[in-house]
Amino acid sequence: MNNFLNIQSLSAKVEDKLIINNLNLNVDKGEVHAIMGPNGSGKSTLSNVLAGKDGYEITSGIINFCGEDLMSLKPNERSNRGIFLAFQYPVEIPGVTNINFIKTALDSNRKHRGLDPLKPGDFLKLIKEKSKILGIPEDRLKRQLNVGFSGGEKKRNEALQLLMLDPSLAILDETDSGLDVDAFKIVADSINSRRNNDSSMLIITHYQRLLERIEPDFVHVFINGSIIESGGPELASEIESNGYERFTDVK
Amino acid sequence: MDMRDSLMLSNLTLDNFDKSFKGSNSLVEERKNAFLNLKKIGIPNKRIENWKYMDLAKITKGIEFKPRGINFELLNKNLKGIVVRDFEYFIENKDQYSKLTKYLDNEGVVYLNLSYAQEASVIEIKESQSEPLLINISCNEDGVSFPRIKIDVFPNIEAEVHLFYDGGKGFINQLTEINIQKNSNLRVQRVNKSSAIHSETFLSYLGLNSNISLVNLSMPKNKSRFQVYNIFLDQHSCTDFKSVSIPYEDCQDDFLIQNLHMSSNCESNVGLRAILNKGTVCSFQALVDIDLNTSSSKAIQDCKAILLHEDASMNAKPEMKIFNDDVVCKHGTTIGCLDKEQLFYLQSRGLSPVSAEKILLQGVIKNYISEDSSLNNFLPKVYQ
Amino acid sequence: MSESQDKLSEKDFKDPYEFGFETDIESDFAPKGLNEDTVRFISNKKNEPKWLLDWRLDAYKRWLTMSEPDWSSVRYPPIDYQDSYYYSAPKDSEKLDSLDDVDPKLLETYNKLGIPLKEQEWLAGVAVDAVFDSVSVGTTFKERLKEDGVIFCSFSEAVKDYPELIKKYLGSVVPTTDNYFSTLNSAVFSDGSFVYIPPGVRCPMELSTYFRINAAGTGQFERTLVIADKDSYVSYLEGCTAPMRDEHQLHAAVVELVALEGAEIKYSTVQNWYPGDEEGRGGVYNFVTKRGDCRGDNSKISWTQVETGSAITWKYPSCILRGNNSSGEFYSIAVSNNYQQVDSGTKMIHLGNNTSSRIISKGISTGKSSNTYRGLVSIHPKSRNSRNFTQCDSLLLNDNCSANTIPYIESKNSESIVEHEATSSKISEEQLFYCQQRGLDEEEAISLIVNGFCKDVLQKLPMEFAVEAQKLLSVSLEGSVG
Repeated sequence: MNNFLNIQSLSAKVEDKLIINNLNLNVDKGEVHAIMGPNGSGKSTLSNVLAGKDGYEITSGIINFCGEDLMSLKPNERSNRGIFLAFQYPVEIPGVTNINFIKTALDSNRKHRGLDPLKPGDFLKLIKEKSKILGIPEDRLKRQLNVGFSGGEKKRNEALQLLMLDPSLAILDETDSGLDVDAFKIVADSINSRRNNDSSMLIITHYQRLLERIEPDFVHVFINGSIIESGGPELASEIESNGYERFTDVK
Repeated sequence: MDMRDSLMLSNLTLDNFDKSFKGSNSLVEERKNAFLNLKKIGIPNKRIENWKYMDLAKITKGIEFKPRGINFELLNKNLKGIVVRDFEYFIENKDQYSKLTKYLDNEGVVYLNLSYAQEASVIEIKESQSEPLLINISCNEDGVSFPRIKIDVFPNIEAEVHLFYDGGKGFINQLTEINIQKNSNLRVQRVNKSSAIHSETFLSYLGLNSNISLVNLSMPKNKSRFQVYNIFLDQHSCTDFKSVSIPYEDCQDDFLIQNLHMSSNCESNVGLRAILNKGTVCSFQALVDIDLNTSSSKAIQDCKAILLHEDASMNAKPEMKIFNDDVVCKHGTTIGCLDKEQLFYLQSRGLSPVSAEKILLQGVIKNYISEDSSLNNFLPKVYQ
Repeated sequence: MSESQDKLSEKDFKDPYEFGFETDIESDFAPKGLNEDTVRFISNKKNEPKWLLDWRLDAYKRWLTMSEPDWSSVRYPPIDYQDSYYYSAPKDSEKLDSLDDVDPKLLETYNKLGIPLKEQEWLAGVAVDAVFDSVSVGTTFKERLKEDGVIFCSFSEAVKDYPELIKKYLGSVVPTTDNYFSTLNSAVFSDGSFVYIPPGVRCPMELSTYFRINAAGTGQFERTLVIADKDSYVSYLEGCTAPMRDEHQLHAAVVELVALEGAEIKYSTVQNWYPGDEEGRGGVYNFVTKRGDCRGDNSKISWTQVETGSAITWKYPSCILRGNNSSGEFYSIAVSNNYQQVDSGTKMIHLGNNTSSRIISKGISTGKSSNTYRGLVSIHPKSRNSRNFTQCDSLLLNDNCSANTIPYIESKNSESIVEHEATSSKISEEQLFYCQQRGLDEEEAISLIVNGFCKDVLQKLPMEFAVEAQKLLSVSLEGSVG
């Protein structure tokens, strides 16, 4: 039991269908956890429930984050407290420029921490620096948020927001999908480089690929809405070679 | 109503109207009510918003008001699971006679039909059909006629109906009612080559999880009005109305298509492709009306008109009335000539200007009338 | 990134109508009610020539025979035209020689509105004509403009100083017979702005009129006339506010634009008349006729409007594309909240060859409001090679409001092309969640998404107005969450 992220007996429904079934998970500060599971196992539902998306009925259980009951908080309040979700399918928002959006989001999070909005000059410096790491050309910052971005561009942009907002808990929902080999390396390494004792990560993925570059402390096999086995990185390797068959058979 | 607007009604009073129907059937009350309403609002003229592009009062002015018979013909014989009745049906089921008016705004042509209708084809479809029902309508005498068609599709039925209007003189004021009960799917093909002034009011009532799709090939040889009211009585129903309009020279084709989304989770789709030659006028008034207490409605309106002659014109009024936020509605209209880039491209590949044009026009139509559709047989040769 | 894109402060959300104060100033009224004497009174107050009085009286007689239009979607109790003042002016206003003589209370009012009339305080590059109730109280930068031959003054002054121009152009775009409200305006209009740009001149600064209704029970009927002579250019801004009052105030303005050969007029409006309160009490009835005439070849008229105010908005800024190669544009944002009713749009009448028009309309409805786009695109038989593109989008923020789209498209020329696209939808849950996940609260998220939805129009506004318009959007949407 820790006081960072603590999920106990969580069950959640979508339109009367049980998607998360009695889930237990503890994530401590500085830890990297990987949630692996086949398609349709409810992985994305978990990330949406943690981020506070509407449309899920929590039927039982608790989620504690830094000593607070997460369920009573709105999505933006969770974000302000340091929870960041890198979306599997980031939505397009026409007319809103990427850079303006990121500034608005950053200032909003800073405000929660009692900080003034970042001065335009400092902000520009910061975003240029982070974009450079991710290989994002500057003109993409001026484009409309995710509008007309390719799958890979969207994922890089999620990573940029992750680096900019610097959350204490980053949830990566299939962040590796849609990225080509080179982009994948850049994105994964830049995310990995921000590992430290104060921030944690929850990596939701189907494949082992991302875990080769961001080595998890714990790997959980997630099937039919609950964790059926936990272990170290070796579990991920096993899945890579043998698939999920062993686990689904158990079920 | 202004009597000068409409000669054909000017010499009629309730008194002589009464006489003309005395004893002829038992619907006198229904007719009287309709007639009083008709007297009040009159034959539609262009001052009425929905008729602004077709002044019916004006164009029917010279027609002698002489009710006459019309040929209804159901070409299929001995179909299984089908009951066909004539006007007797309404005499036996009085409540059905003017039941529909509650969904319509005071619509003069409907009251006109209800005042005088004497012929009907009432079809009950009780079993799914493997072949389409073929219905022909025509008349050769001068005068006016008021045919009614009523099609009742029972639950869990798949069926197809082909309506064919040909020839004719004078003025035909038709009323078509389609009732589709739950889980049924009706496909309709409509071919209009009528040379009468033809006004058809087409109402479809959709039950739970029902479906109506219509492909309409409209090639009027006079002035035609096709007005459709789709009424979503229950959830999860869909309508899909596609029209191709190719009026003959100097003829007019007027469409009014309203989708009244009174239930949730319904979807409507309306489209028009018009090819307009010398002297033709085409009008497309479409309305999507999303009721206050509905959710998850979807509606699409799509209109494309090609003006082939300098003396052709197109009017479009794609209207959306939305009283609920849970909707996705889209509309697109394009009016213009054939794409010059495309014409050039085809010619650079060796096609003559005429055949390049032909190919592009075929493309416009093929959107709605597929290669294997029997409607191809009715298309003018150049477009086949 | 520009400052204008910065987020708004908390304060902006909390102040529903910040221009709702009233100025305590002595006013000179015409007797209440409307009759021939009222018309004579106004004309007399302004020392008008006889031809103009006759013109007004003609209009008045015409008006008596007309009836209020009933084809729009707006609904309101009958207006008692005898229960309003048709002329109200701050006392002493007629004697002013220079802005220094303006009543300090008036200057204070305009300062509160963010429009300092002292020239040195005003943003360089914007000349202002301030209209308070029925009269113009001051026009800035007149002398500077005169150097280029630009005339920018109140309508009353123009009648005195440039009678030939007024005689030639007044009513030439919107005739006295045009419609019920414009005819009423023709009879009783009190003041407004007049602009003339001589041939070949590019007006060196933005021209701006700020309209303010202050006196209670007063109708405002101003008249604006802008003439851009051959190959000239002018950008004109119009802003409107009014105090919060429980009764409705009638505003029936007429704006006429004339663009001669090769001229271009850009006309922007930020309309923020008092919209009434949350229960639908009070608010301005805004029945406005705006029309531009692209009279010369190669001329261009562009309307941009941000409409957030008024209990009722009834206006259709239009372009008559008479000259060959002329073009017209209409960019509009209309926001309706609470019980506001908007019926607005445009008419593009294509008469000349190679004319083009572009319509971008963004409607946002929330509260219990109704928001209607009504437009006409008409291509006349002789208008060859003309083009129109229309994009008409509605956004609904809750399930008590309504959005209607009623476009009329009439094409009678086979060589012209008309394209129209429209969408209506609710604000996307996915977009809201995405923004919230990044830390924005619901109101911030809505404001951001709405601003994005309106971007195409906002960027057409002159810089000074764009900032104000974005603020207004957010303020108008206040309370729309839920």
